[in-house]
Amino acid sequence: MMEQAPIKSAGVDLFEKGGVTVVVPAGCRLDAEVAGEFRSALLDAVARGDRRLVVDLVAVDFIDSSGLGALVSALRHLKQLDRAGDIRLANVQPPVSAVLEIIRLNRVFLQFGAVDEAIASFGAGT
Amino acid sequence: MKASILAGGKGTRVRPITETIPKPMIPIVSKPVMEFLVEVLHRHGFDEILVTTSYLSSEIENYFREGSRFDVQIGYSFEGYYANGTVVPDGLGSAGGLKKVQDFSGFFDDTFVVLCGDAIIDLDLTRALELHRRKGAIATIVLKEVPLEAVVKYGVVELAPDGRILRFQEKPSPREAVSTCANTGVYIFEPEVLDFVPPGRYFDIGADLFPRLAERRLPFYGLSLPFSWIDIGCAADYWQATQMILRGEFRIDMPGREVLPNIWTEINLAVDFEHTDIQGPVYIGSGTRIEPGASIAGPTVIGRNCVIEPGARVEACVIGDYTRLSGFAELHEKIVSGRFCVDRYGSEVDLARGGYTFVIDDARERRAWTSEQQMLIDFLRSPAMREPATR
Repeated sequence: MMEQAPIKSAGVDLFEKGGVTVVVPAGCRLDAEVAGEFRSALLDAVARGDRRLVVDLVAVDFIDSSGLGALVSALRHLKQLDRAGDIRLANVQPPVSAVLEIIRLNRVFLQFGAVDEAIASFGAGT
Repeated sequence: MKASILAGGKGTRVRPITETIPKPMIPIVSKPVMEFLVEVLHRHGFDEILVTTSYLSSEIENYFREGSRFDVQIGYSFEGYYANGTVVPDGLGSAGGLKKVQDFSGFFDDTFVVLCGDAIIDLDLTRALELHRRKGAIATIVLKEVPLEAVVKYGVVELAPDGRILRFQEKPSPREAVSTCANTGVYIFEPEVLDFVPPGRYFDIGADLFPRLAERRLPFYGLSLPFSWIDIGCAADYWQATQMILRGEFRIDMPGREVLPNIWTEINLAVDFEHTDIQGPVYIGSGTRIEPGASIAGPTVIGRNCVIEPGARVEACVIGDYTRLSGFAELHEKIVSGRFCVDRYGSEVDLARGGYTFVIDDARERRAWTSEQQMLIDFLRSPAMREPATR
């Protein structure tokens, strides 16, 4: 991974654990400014063949419609390739879960309290 | 008799509802909080009411005018100034504001009542006044027992057996609190109380004046009377107050007409009650359209000129005037006020900033979506939404 300058809040971290790709937007805002980069990170992972993704939203306290758009379009793309694939969320902060609730996306994206829980939800090794 | 309503607060704790509405004008079902106070004052013979204003003062002045509609006389003391054509609120504090009025005209020339403009009370003011006079008090606070964990929101008092206030503590921690007898923001004062307020500077009744009266061992009393009191201290309180009123736990004269059991409406509605799922208690303001396929469950208030589209689901909410809810909206225990959606715990979503106007927006806006929003709309309408994710 490239070292990030400490003042730069944007950026997306990515690692693999237990057969699951964990995507971590680094900034506290998932908005128009960073949504493109976030979407690319997800789509690149899907293009590499990753089918189980967890997005760790621990740092994110603001998500706008472009941030959600990135999540939704990546999920849509993934589902077209493999219906069994999924994107799940971990550490969703209250301002973000409030948005997911009022727009009913909480029915689409499963949410977990911790990254490991989200990883485990995919089932071991299958 | 004379009274004063303190209506100058910024209402920071009720933000974001108070972004556009000053706290005394927050609608309880459809009536501003302060109107309940004007009514209770009128019932007990207080016919000259001085309102101290600052933040969004014109909203208050334009509604109450000179008071003739309420059969009282109302005047306003504005605390602030004009800069570059806009009003800059510059509050003097609750006591400082009263002092300013007194220095201006000597308005308070006999025993007077002071009410904070952010609570609804149903108190026998005549009886309170009588007890104040019988004690020979210079100041009386009307008290109410609150749970220990709530003392941090209020001032509490330590009382002598005869009701004299020995100590006044403003917003203590539960550990330090000398009692759970809370200040309700209802005061009865003699004009001499204002001699203890320094002129021309910020001075608060709870934080500055009351501790001073207690320290000087003046005839300063606390009075516990049974009465109903709903304090709108924060957004959660506002949600709670509306729920209580609609459930009938705090009785008010419900506005509008009860067209079906537990459903109150105003005029000019476009609602097909036979084909729309509406479970009371629900109040619907005038000019509102609720389309078949929407679902509304009480206790819910829907304001004036709203549009609720098919598919929208609303339960236990307060929906402000001119709100449009699209069919994607799922609102459970929420307040929609202007461009904000606030939950019962006070956490908020800024709908405009987040680009969520395709879910909830102002009914007067012309709709135009960005490609991102259109993609989300298409997705929300797609079969994927009908097959919820499963673990």
